[in-house]
Amino acid sequence: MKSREFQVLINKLQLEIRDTGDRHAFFVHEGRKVIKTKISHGHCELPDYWYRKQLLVNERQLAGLIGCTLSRSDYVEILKTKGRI
Amino acid sequence: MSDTILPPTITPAGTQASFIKESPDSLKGFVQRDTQSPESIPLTVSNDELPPFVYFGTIHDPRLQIIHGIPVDIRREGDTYIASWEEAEEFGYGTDRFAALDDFSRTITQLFVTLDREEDTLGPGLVETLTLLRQYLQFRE
Repeated sequence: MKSREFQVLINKLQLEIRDTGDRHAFFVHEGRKVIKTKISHGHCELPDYWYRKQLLVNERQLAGLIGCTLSRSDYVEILKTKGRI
Repeated sequence: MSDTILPPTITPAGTQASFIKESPDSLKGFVQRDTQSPESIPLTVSNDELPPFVYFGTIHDPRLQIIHGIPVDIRREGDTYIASWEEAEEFGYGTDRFAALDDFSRTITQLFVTLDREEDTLGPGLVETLTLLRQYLQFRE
């Protein structure tokens, strides 16, 4: 995954990042932090496997989130099926 | 370039050794004996010979200490080294294994501090993560 693709995830999922120095972004649902994912620091190709693992999505779902086929509400449904919400 | 292991006799009194990292896979060593000019010794770091698994015990944040070594796998994917802790679903990465471990250390530190501070707002998955982290890390008293 490229850094710009990760930026798409931040925007689409409205991941919470408090400070510029933060190393994690959080997916917040109804006031609770339910998912953490590491923030890219930009100088390496990001390891897809670990982002899929942290976001609890498979390869197809990750591609859908980066692309146009899955929305934030779709992601909430994914997390519900995983028992995280 | 040759593989060289410095024997312990390389640093008797009056001898200084220093190292320059030229690339992720190579070091250049310099040995200076007494007043003689520094002698260059080429060294090669073979990541294949380094362990792919370590118990990690270095945290830079003086507020924290490690209670138990954290089991960390280190592997290379293309040009990126990844240091990961499977159980915590956490990782660090960088252009070499040392950068990956350093990123891992800083990542784990910040995660522990953040989750501890915001414990009341965590969902069940992150509560589990915090519980796990507390088995390995604690704040110094």
